[in-house]
Amino acid sequence: MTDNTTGLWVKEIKIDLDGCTGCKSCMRACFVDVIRWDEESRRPVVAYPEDCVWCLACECACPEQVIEVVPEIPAPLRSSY
Amino acid sequence: MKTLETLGEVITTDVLVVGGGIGGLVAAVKAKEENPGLDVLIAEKQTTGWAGKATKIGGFLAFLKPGDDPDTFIDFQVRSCGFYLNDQRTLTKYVHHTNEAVQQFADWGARLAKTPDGALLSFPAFWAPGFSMTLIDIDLMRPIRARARKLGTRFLDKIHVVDLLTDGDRIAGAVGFDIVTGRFYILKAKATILANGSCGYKVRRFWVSGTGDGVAAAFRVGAEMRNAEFGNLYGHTVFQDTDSGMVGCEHLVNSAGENLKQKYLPGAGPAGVFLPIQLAIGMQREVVEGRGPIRFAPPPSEEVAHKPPVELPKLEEWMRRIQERERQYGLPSEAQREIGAPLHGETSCVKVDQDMRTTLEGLWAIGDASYAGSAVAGAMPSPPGISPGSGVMYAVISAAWAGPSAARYAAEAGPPEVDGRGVETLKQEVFAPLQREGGVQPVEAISALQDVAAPMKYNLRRSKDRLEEGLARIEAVKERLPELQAQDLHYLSKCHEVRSMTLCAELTFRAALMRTESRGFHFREDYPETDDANWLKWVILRRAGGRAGGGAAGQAGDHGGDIELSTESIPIGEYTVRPK
Ligand SMILES: Cc1cc2nc3c(=O)[nH]c(=O)nc-3n(C[C@H](O)[C@H](O)[C@H](O)COP(=O)(O)OP(=O)(O)OC[C@H]3O[C@@H](n4cnc5c(N)ncnc54)[C@H](O)[C@@H]3O)c2cc1C
Ligand code: SF4
Ligand code: SF4
Repeated sequence: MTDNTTGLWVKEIKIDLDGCTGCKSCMRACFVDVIRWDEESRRPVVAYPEDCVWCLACECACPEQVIEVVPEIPAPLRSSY
Repeated sequence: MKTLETLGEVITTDVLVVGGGIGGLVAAVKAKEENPGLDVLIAEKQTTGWAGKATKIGGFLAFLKPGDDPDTFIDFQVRSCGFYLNDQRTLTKYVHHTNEAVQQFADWGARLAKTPDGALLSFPAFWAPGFSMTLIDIDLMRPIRARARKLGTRFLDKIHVVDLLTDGDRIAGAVGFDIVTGRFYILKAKATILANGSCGYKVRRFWVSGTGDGVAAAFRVGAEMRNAEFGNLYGHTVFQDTDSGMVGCEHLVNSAGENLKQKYLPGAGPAGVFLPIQLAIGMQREVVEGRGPIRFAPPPSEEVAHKPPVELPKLEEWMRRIQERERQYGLPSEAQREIGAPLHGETSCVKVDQDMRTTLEGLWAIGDASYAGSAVAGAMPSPPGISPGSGVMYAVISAAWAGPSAARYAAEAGPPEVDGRGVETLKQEVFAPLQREGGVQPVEAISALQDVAAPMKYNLRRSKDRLEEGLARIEAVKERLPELQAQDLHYLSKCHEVRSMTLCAELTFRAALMRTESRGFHFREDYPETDDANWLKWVILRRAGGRAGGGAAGQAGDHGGDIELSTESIPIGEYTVRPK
């Protein structure tokens, strides 16, 4: 099995802004500050994808279902032995 | 001397709750219910009612159902999980509060599992006699957040609380910064409740928000710590694939196909999904002795996960999504999955009494911040520990004790005085990593810390030599903390998280070095026996010389100072469960 050398849990966080209504739910749902708010466009910004752990809380919270988080597998979890 | 107002945004409140996860929300509600006239403020690093670990739960709640046997359960808890390091009075009080806590969830409008005729669904706890389990949906915080708001609680989101303020011997609130705007906050409070979780060293996926900020802040101002050596939970998982799913312990095999449960726990009863320490150590031994990798090899009949017949739509939707994503992007289903046992950590050692008061006046600590420190669990780390369903329950029950206790104190106490000079120093300390050019990036420091906190050879299969080697490596990380550099406010938050995590690791390793015996999750290869004659004691840690002076916690470059260790005899003679 190949190791994950990127140290990241996630490949990509896709938000289809055309379908987004600007409700802020995704930003609130994120427990580690990955998603920030752009006050000008009043839309979410994926500001810190490097901290995403694909908990999918943002996806579950989005009323328009326009978010898709693509995981990076294998995971960057190191063996503890 | 500058006035506080020139240093930042000053907010005065009666009860400050640090952390707006499940514990913090309930503490705020209970403080308000105790005394609606008090001002209650929650300061949360992310978003109150969404953040923390309660939105990541498997839904389990463990409780004493009417008709269950509390004495049998407590006896089991003390003998087989806590190994006599429990504060049996707090444990007993806790056990008798659990049924009320479940009812409270129902009254608040959280969704609990029901039987077809509408009664609460419950089933015997699979890990302990005399106790029951039920299930709750993962949107459990929503109605509590609504209730807190209705009662007039103020929420301050995106605030990273860094340090506690002092007024003489009393805690006077906290300081922190807005991780979006960078504004500095001086939160003056008559009573402060730490509800900001335990330290998991950012190893496992759903535990990354636990960075021990409350534990570290309390230590820095001189609060005592207890049971810090039990900040070393390991769980086994399909680690290289997705870090999800805790598979059954029964079916772990080495490369020769030997079953590890039969090898290391012969004759033991069902082990369920939680990893007993002997098995964890056995896994490590297998791998270092060349019989790895460890794999999960269930008989075909058990491969299909059992799905409980309940309707908890949010939990079900979340799990469905996760599983679909794993299927879509994960390893093919025929691939042999390697099992690892990464660190959960869960250092949660703030020492508290039966009302969740810390050893400092005006400061309480609840939930994951004080799970080990309350000694409710004894010789084991915070939830899931080996008591599934106790994390949320301990958070809400400890909150239900701390909220009213803090409210009563705040109603009597005068306003605290906060010294501007101390606050100015703290402010410099908070923002220093932003001013540096070059230096250590927080991700580098996290990685270096994980390299010592996470390996089993240091934190699980312990010995004097290896603990000292580990401590030297922690010291090396600590020495570089003054060079931490933040490229922006998000990373500034990370710099302070690393500072907290480093201190938590040191507390755990120092306590582990002092306890020269093996007990519960603390295994010393050089002292493999449990020594009741000498070690029915708690290891207590505090900052050498008490707190830092100057009206506030820190001086520039304050990373916790030296650690003073002592022991406190457990009043076992006053307890009902004693070693035979
Ligand atoms: C994957 C997983 C599954 C679990 N399953 C179960 C289960 O089935 N049953 C069960 O009972 N328990 C379970 N637990 C444990 C349970 O979730 C926790 O014990 C519980 O959430 C603890 O609540 P808390 O409020 O004390 O801490 P947390 O939920 O950790 O909340 C702490 C809050 O403080 C905030 N915070 C942190 N630092 C700061 C700071 N410096 N300034 C301001 N705010 C800060 C955080 O953002 C967070 O919102 C599980 C945990 C995980 C991770
Ligand atoms: S998947 Fe989780 S961690 Fe990632 S952006 Fe969404 S809420 Fe945040
Ligand atoms: S939750 Fe969905 S609709 Fe709401 S702001 Fe985020 S992406 Fe847009």
